[in-house]
Amino acid sequence: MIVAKNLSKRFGRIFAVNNVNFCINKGEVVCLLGPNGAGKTTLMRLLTGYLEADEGNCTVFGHDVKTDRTSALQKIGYVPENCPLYPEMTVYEFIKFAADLWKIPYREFVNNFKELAAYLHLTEVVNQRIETLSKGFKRRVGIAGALIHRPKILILDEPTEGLDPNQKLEIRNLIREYGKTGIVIISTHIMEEVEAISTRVLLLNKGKLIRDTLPRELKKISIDNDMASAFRKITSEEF
Amino acid sequence: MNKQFASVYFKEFKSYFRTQTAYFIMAVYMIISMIGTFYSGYFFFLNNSDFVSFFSFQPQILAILIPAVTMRLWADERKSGTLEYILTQPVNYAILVLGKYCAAVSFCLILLTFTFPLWIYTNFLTTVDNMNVFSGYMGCFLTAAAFCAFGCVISAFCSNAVIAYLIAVLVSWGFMATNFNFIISFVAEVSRLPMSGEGQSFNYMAHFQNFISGQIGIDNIIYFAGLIALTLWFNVFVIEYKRS
Amino acid sequence: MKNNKFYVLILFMAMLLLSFVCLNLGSSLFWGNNKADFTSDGRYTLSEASEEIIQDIKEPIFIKIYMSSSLSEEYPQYADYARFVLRFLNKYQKASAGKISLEIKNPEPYSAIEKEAQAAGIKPILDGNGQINLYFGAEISNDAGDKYTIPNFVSERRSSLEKDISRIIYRINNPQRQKIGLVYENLPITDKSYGTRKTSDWAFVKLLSNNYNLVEMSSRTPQIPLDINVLVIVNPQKPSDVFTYALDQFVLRGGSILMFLDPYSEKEGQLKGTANISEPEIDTLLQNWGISYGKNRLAGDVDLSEMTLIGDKNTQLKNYYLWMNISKDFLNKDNPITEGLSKLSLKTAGILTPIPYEDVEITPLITTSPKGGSVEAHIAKFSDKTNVLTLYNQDNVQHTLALQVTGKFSSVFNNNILENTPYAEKMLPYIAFSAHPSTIVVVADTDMLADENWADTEQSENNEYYGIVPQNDNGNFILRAVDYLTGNKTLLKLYDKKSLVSENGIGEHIYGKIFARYAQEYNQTQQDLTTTEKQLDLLSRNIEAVGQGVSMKALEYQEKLRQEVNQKQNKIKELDYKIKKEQEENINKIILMNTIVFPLLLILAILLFRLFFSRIQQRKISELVNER
Repeated sequence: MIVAKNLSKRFGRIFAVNNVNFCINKGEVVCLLGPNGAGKTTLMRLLTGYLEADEGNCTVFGHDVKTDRTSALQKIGYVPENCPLYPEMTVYEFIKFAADLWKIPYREFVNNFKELAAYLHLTEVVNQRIETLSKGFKRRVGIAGALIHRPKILILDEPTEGLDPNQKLEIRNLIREYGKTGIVIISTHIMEEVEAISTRVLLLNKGKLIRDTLPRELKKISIDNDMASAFRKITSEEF
Repeated sequence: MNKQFASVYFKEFKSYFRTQTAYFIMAVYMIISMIGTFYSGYFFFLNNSDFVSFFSFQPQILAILIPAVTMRLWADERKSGTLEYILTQPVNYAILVLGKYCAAVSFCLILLTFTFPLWIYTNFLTTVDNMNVFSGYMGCFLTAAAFCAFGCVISAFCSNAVIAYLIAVLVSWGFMATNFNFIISFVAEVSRLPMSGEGQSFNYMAHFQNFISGQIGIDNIIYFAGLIALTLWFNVFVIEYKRS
Repeated sequence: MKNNKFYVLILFMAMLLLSFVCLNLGSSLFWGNNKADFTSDGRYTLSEASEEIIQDIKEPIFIKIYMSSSLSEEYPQYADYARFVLRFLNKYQKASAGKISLEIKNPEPYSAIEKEAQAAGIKPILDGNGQINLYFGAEISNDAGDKYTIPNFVSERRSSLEKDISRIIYRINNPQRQKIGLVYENLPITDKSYGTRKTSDWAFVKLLSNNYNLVEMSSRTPQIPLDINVLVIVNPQKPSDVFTYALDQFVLRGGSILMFLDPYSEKEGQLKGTANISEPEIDTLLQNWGISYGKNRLAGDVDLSEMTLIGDKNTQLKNYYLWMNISKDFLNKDNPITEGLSKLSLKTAGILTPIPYEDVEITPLITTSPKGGSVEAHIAKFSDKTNVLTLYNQDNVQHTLALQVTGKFSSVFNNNILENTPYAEKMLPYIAFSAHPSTIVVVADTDMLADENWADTEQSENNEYYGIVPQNDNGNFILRAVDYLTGNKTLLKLYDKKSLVSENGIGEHIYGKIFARYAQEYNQTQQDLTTTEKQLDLLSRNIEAVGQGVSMKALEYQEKLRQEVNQKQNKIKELDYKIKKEQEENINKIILMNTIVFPLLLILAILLFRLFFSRIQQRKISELVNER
């Protein structure tokens, strides 16, 4: 369970996140939706403790991200925007590195790794350097690194950005699968994705949470029952 | 050993060799060191039982080369965005700092061991006071360790490795060459304690000289250990500060 | 908000800096003077005696070091020594808890400090171009005006450095210098004109006068002044009755004597011609003190003998038994005088035999090895060394060459010898028995005092003591004996520091090793050259003497010899060149090996190790992934 209370973050005078409140429960796949600069990435960084909130707080299964960072992060698997990886490492080394940071016992790591490698089709490239991989593979390696400790919460910042349709489909399947038992938070501005996988939508604009709703409710806002036009409508209303 | 520490340590340590920077630094270090020893250090003119030809230029050489070892540590992570990845793992920042720092120091140790052949070789050429040489190497190692700590902090401030390198060279060189004894004279004046001489000194060189002449005291060790520990602590603080 | 954080950062940094300052100040105050000495020869550790001397300092002592900054560029080897000296003097300063202050001055050319240095007596050394004066010396003084100058620190005296400094401090502490008397005969040991030549003091005289108030005395004096406690007698001949009386009474009053006598003083022979050497006839006194002295025999030793060129025509390097280098094993380790000495060099020494008396303790100080031998003194004097070796008698006896006698004696006289003369009134009353025990040290050799047998005085100009470079412990023996006899127990604990550091650079070591391979050829050629040159010289002189009527044959022979000399000279030059070249090649090889080859090998090793390691790992991982 993730709870955000009065979460605010300012960069200079601009509010990147402004008094955001929500609570996410198990079994939800939450989509952070919003135009560029709406504060999606900042919100995710606040949730993962990379940024410190100026006001308010956020707890992950009861652990405050600010005061009890490491315990909170134990529950989270996070793939930042553009999926940064260490290019000189091999796939195996990276995933092992991630596993060690989570202090996973070796046996457990081996089982998880085998499973993930098979599931994400990484078996062929385990000994390859990350810099030699294609974008889709890199994304999958990043996700594998985030999933190796089987976190209860998976946070993905624009997970399908720049992938070909096949790869997009694979990632979406994975998210859907994962959402059944845990919490998945993804950020995106691709409407079809929202429709395809999310069970809940948090619509952000200029740092404010302007809608916390279900995807089908969101669709209803527009006349033609289309997510994209609903999005346009809501975000333009706010101006 | 802490699993997290070990993983950070080995990741960083291996990356020196994975990115080939290691070989480049090693080659440059060896060439500069040996030229310093043989030509500027008058290796063949001196008796060198204390290996002084080699040690006398090490601070300068290390001040130039150690920043190259440490420049990537944080700056590259920031540049490639992996800083966000690593800081959102459930790892204490102190462990990250220590892991990276120790990797750099281990690399420096390897760098120093590269000059052991000359040490061994010299044993065949003249009578070498090996314990004295050992203490000189300890001085070099602690120098390298201190410079590594500086380099780490500066790298944490910068997002460009080249800038990190240049600033670290300036800081290391300045630290090595500056006369800090005005602090001593100030404190002595205020407190009226009998303080003078090289035993009481903030000057790096005074401490290093103690090492190369085989005169190691607790104060020398504390000087370096304190310097390193405090700098690393500052590094942790800088990471937290720069995060937001 | 961000600004706030920035201030916190600055504050934190300031706090860390402050804690570093405190930490460092604290540690240096508590432990700054305690250092573990990692050097194997303990070259920076002060001896107990030095510590004692430093503890005794009453008035503050100022050490001013004049050292040119360009020394290190001009003379790297010397600068290396300078660094050592500075560090070492620092140790004194630290150990003194503020009583010694150290000041380093850089005498720039034509500056006021340079003038100050010159006024203090610091001796300039010319730089490589011979244009600029460089300095490295020290002036040690106190407020009372006692001042001692070391004109320059001679690196060859490295092992004596602690002794020199500690002795100076000791003397500043104890400004009242003890008087010792010096009596000598037939040897020009002080700078008094000797015949027509003016000579300078012998090194051992500089040594003594630097440490004591040395008073020269005539060998005709009827009485040794009361303020003299120790008398050094060198090469006594047959003493006059008056002087015998003076010595007799001096000893009975508790005075101590250090005597060097010699059945055959080679030095004297060298100066006056062998035929004029006289022998000491001081038997009465010596026997009274418990020493029997065979003036006709010289001691020798097969094992301890020195090599020298022997023979007129076929000169050969051979052991000459009468020239002995006495090693540590045959110096009395339990006696404070000889304790800690390692090598003495004696030439044609006599043999001493103790006569056991009651109340008299006799201790041998210097002996030959059990393989000692002897030869008649006149053989050594009047025939050549080859003959000496033929007539040498291998006694297999451990001969005593020097001994110490301590005890109470009775006079050899029955009354004041000058009784009934006007002098008697001015003299001290006659005594028949010792009031206090006195000590007499007798050495049966005077040649050990000669400069060439113990000291290199090349760097010692104008009677300057700190330029004497000892080659063995002869000087130490003399000084220690006087220290012992004057009762300076602290000084006796000051020894030379055996140093690991030799003055030869690595390049010279390499040269030496290469030279060793050519040594035989080189020496042979050199020897041949000398012989041929001698022949040529002789022939040329003969030819010149004959003048016009010289035979063609002789001229041809002269020409042949000339060519031979030329040839040999060329050969020596060639050898020189060869050795130099090989040395250079060796040095280049070393540089290449260490700069390129070793690093490359190591890098290669790392690469191979990595390759091997990653192969294994990759195989393991592939297996892991593919296993069911």
